[in-house]
Amino acid sequence: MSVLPHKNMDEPADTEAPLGALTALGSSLRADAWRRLRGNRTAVASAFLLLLLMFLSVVVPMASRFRYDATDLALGAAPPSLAHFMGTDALGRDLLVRLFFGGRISFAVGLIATLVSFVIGCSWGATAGYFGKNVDAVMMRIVDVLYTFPFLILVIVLQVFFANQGGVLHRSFSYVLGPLIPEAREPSYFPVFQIVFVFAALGSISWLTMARIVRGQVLTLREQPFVEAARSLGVGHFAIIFRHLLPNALGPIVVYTTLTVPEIMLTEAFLSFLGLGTQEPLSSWGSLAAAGADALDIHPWTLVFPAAALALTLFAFNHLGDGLRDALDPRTQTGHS
Amino acid sequence: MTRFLLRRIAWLVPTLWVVVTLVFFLLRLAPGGPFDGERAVPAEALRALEAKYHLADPLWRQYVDFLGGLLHGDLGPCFRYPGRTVNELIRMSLPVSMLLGTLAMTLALAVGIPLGILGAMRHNTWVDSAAMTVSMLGISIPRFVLAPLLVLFFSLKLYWLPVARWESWRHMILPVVAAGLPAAATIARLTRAGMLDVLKSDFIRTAHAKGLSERAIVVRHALRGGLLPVVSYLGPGFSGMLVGTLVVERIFNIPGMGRYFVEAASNREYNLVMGITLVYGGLLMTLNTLVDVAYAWLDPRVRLDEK
Repeated sequence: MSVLPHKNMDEPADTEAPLGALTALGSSLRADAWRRLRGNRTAVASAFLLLLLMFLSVVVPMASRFRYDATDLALGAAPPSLAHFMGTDALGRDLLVRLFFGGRISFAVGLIATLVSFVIGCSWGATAGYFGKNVDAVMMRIVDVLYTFPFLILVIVLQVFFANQGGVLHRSFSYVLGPLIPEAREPSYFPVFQIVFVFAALGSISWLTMARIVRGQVLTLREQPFVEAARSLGVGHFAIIFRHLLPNALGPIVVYTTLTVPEIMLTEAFLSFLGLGTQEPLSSWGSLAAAGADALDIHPWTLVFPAAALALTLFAFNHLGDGLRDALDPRTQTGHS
Repeated sequence: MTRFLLRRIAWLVPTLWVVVTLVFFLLRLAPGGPFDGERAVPAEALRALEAKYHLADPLWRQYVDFLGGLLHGDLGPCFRYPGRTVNELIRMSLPVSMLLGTLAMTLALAVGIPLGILGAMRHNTWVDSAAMTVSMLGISIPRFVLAPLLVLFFSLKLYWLPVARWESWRHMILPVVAAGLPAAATIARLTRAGMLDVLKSDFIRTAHAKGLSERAIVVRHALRGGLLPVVSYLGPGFSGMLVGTLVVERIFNIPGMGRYFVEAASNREYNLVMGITLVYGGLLMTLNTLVDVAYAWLDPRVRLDEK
């Protein structure tokens, strides 16, 4: 029903037929994919780099003697030194700690928003593809219409108007979290609320492509004998979709999920640059790089380190996604619309 | 084809209406008003202002008035720029943004497609991996980092190009490059993937067998199919470019629509936000329709009139 074959739109990167596929006759698909992935040095290095960065993001802010928000106005912006490996920002805050503290937020934003888009996109696409006919037509028409929404603009509008201190959403947020975390009622907790809002907003705009991919997969899978077998055994629709169809469509889903993370991190950085994402004194790689970009000619190190961290992470996620595609998904080339 | 176009145009109006209605009510229901500034406006003056702009009317009344104005192509007055209408502001800033976006997209295509073809033709050589590493870098560096770096290098170190503003062609180079390069990187990767796919097919082997030159094969036979992924990227690509111009306009202090939009949203400039949302939305939907048409033209397997 939708106009474009969605095959190519969903492939932001290159695809190659893995040569190893010929030798895979005797081994399971999963073992085979795993072997191919391990053989891909770039992908393995990327995975290790990401794990290392995540580990450092957790550990460094705990281990350092500086706090992410401890200012030292007498020091001001100092270049990298033995005391501050990455130097300090204009307020004398240690950049190393702020960088890895920001890593927590950047990774969290990327991963949580991706999870939101994963859940919505998979359920939506699988339901549409499984039931087909009118259900499919209506659901995918909604996706088509949403695609043409100027969504980022809606996010900005929502951010500006709802993520404000004392607003409806903020009040309900503190009301819900208040009994659990007493600080949630404090005004100083507001930045955390804003970040949660960014998660939700970003997740809710990025499930469309996921829905299209999953639908395409399910459309081909549902005609296969194992689905018929499940149905004739009396398995319910819900179980067929979530127990039988989705696991079989996992390859492209995993690949696209991996590629969604860097996209979302980039969007978070963009929002932070506009002053709509992560707010001071919290930090994310986007907000640090945006602050550094302002003072590029005076203290370049405040841009270089966060920008490098962000670029490296995106680089790694993209390479990992490519590697996963090559390993898991030899079918992408044949198309499935 | 005609039926397809008519159907898409018929969809455009309700979709825009949904967007406009959604944004309208979100704006009005959100706390704060256009006249909450640093200094409190005296109650008397506030009432006068609200009366002047009909902000004290019931919500449905404002909505009906707004839609009525829209039918006449009148987007209403600006609050922060007294004496200016939204129509005037958009008329001033839209051409700037359009020019920036068009130039950047042209640059992206002009750089990305040849780079991708090169990568595909020299598949698995150092040329290929160099091209792909560069493009991966291009994807991984946000525009708001790339732009200051360009300024630092070409304006502050080499003194070749102006730092900001939008006056002569020399002012346009850096913003266009900053907005275009990330898109060029994506396009290069898509072109390479598409070309690799096509170059493996039977009809290309036939073309080789009949002794056609490499150049003729790529230009006349492979390119049409190889560019399909790029064409389907253009839809999302345009909205990405829109975001890109937002960033670039801010960094280079360019009087385009993106700059007004962020300002307007923060200042509760109801009418201006509505106007710009409408223009952006309409633009995106039109471009998406054109992309679908182009896709059908390139790929004979796609039929637009189906069902």
